[in-house]
Amino acid sequence: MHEIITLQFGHFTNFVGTHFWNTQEACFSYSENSTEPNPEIIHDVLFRTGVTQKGVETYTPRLLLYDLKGGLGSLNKFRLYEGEIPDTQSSDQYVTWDGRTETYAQEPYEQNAYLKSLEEEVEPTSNHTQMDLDIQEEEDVDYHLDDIVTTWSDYNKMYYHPKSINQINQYQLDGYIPFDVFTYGRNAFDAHEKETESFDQNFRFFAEECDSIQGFHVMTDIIDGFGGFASGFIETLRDEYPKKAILVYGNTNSLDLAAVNQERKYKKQMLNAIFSTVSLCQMSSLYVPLSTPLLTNQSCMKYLKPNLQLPYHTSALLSSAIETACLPFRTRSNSTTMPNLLDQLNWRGDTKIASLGVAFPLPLSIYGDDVDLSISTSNGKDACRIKYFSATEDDNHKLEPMFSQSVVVRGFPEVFVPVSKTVCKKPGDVKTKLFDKFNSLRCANTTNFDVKLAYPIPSSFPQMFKSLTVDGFINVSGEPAQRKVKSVPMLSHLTISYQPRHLLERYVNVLEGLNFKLFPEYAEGTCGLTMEDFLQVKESILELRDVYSED
Amino acid sequence: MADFIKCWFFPLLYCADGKFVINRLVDGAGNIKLTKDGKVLLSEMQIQNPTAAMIARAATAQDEITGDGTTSIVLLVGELMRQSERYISEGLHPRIITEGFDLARKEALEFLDKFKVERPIDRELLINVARTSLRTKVHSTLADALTDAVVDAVLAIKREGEPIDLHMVEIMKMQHKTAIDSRLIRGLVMDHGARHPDMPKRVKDAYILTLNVSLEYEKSEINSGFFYSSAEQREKLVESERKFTDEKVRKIVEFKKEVVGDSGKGFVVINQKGIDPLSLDILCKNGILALRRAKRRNMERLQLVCGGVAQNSVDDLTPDVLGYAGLVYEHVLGEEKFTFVEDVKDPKSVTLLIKGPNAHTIAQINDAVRDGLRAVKNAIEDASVIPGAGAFQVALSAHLTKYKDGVKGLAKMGVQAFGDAMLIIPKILAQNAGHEAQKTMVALQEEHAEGHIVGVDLKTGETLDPVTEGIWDNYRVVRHMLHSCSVIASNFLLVDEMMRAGRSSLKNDNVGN
Repeated sequence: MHEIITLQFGHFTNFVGTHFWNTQEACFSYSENSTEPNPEIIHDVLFRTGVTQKGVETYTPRLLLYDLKGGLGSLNKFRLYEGEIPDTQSSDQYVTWDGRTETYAQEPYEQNAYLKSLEEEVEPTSNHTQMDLDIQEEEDVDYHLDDIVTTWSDYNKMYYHPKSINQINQYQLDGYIPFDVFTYGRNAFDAHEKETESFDQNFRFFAEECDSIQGFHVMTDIIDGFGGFASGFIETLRDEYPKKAILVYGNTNSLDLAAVNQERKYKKQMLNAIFSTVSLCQMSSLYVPLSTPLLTNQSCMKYLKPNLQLPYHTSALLSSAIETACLPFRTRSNSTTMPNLLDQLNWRGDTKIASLGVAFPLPLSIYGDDVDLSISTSNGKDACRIKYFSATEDDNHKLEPMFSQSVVVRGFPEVFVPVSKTVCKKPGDVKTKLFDKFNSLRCANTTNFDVKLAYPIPSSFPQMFKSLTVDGFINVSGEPAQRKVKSVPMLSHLTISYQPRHLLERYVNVLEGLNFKLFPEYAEGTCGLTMEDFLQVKESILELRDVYSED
Repeated sequence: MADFIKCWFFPLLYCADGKFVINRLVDGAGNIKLTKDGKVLLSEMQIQNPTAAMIARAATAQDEITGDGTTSIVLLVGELMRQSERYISEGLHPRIITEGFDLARKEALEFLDKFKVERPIDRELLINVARTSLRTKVHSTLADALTDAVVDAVLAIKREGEPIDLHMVEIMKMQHKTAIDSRLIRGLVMDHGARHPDMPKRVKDAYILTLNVSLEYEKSEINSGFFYSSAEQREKLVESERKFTDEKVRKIVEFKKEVVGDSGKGFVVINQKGIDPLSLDILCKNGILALRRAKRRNMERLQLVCGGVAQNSVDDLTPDVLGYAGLVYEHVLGEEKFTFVEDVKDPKSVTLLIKGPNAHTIAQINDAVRDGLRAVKNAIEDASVIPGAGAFQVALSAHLTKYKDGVKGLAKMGVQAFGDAMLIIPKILAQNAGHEAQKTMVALQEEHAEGHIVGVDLKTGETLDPVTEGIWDNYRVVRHMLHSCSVIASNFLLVDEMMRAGRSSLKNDNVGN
């Protein structure tokens, strides 16, 4: 078994991560005599079995997540392992102290109606028959999550191991001292490790019990201090695991980007992203920068109507992409591992920056009508229907020449509904045709993966689909959908191409016109960056750009 | 600034320290933290104010250098500000006061050097120092139980003529039973166990081999970019890699056979890198207990506990790289495993095992133990101690009042303010112990005037002699405290002045952001 340890750094990343884990939870099959003896997904890759001191078995993500103080919302990390939280109002006697105690309690973070309903659901399950459950699900109360979600724990369905949850105490979310400088994050990592030794205590806890780790799945914010924090962590990680695969997703929440008139803020965000990119590229096996779609860019979303003002929605899009792209590492049928796939993608050795796109949903009707993805690269006019999460807007329209690609298609039905009495398309043919499209692209290395399981849509997922059936196929009947979409077929496209040059070009432009001396905050602390460091990073960015420039 | 001091700072101060109040912080999700540490308080309570942030940084610095006195710094800065405010409201310029602070600080540091008690640092004195520190953080029964453990831990790792490295005291936390079960282990406790079901759980009379060698199948190069032209070629490569790993394991097994022979002794491998199931299986079949992914720092500690030398390669192993332990055993608690390496000769590294029923209790004991260790270390390195229970502050205050008469000009006001501010420490001590502060203060000052060294008796509210009672503070803690509180207070006074002057011109201008 090839374990993966997941690491999440940053508030927005935790939005993404929460969707990711909720999706995992939706894939569990709870019934004991499952019809499928060997489920397609090997959950043990991402999850661990544990037991509390009271002897209760637990199944929790092999995960470390980091957030700022105030970022965790109503999440109590000892919940799972210590049972009921002690009454916070009583100043009962503590075993360690017999003198006076004074209590300073923050306003409790109210659990919203959705979380409460989840908790109630857990209790009575045993008394209900499967039938009751089905009915319950049918009812599907609308909790208006769009309105009530303010932080990621507001829609979190997962129970985490107490060692998974780590809070950076020096900084408050939206606090007086903003966590907006790469160096702050780098220093905060050192301080945090000194205080809590989370690498030695918590990370090691998950790593030690693994028999053969295939790699580390890292998601991090990059435009604030978390880029620095993650860099510090991965530096330590790389030191300890010199040969393991480290796959890093660098997330940018476009909503957080500075407006045009906040030039200094914008430059700082770019600097953070640049420092993060250079250091993450250096230490990871593959680095995938991801940006949430911009408000101005609504193309490629024929069947989606996400509210791009809400991180709750945009993070769901990123999460679907990440979840699907990493399927090959944890399915029984496609036996590849993270290091194998990453090696195949980065066969050149010096192309560590990848791009990720999705067809979400995969436009497919119940009759198996041709999938319209328009992915030809012959001319720039053809709009590509795959949505790439790149920071630069205009490059969605055409695919760049590629070094390598990994295509994951999931959720093709077993059979299509016959078009007429005599004609019935075969899913196999449609699939082959689809893969052929990718194979015909100019690309040195192509790997295709086919997964039966469609992308499940848990109750925590934002309702953003339009004109889709319950199973996520295009609703050709034209009737308005009556029920919520339960799952969708989708496709992810992880590529190494010339595409990152747009991003790197932008970085170069920022660096050229920037006087680093005007940003003294980057030099603060023991991990402060000097002018020399800055020039070195600039050099590295230029080198990276050259790699991705077409001759 | 003044507003801040009034509505934010003082409530914090008066509740914060208190040798007899512990603060219970409950966050929005119901997580509990018990603390009386000023630094923790400042960082736990939402930092939304630049002044608080600045004091928090100073407190952090104090903590880093001395490990204690953070709350007192917060307390003193506040009191210095309050004392100065009186003079400033009467028209005295802040700069004059800071001049006075400066003079007072220099005098205070000189006075401290005269006041300190230099006596042989024996175990008894260290016990007193540790107890003084611990009793302010946990209740007395528990404090007394921890006192011996803390002192003996430091004494065990102390080497003549070398600085004390507290990292060589491993602090291991176990969520189990009651806090009173916390104790000192003359050996090492690790938070992991064997990962093979058939490995021995208890090994007596054991050779210990510490390794930093990967015993898991790994690809030899990262991003080699190598393509297998056929499945067969790939198989071959995998096989040769596997052989490479097996070869390393075989060397260990052979080495074990060589040194153990028929002697019936045990053999334990503790590896910083991974050991995969196949390798574990081979080791197990050969009667070897093996632990993987040991903490980096434990490599160093193990050498100090059992002797031997950590190896980076399994080539040319010789018996002299082996350590020795009389007993190695595993302890399982729920999903957590612990491995005890005990019964060793002259350990130069030890483990403090902290037990408690829940996470916040363990965290609180951990904080107390850390501070206790630092206090003992400081006392040894300072080779002197300061009578505690507020005795120094009472004496200093009286001394500065005398010294003030020799100071020319308005700066003497600053000296007076400094001297008066010092009394906040005994005052708070009395107050928080539930006594009438003023009565205690009068008694203290009167007794001091008669030439005695007197501190606050927390039980009665009367005076006591800290020297005979064995209440000692660290020299360096007090020294650093005197230094930083005056510097910070001075900064605040001057900044406050500047802000007032510049307020009109800087209005609405977001400098630096």
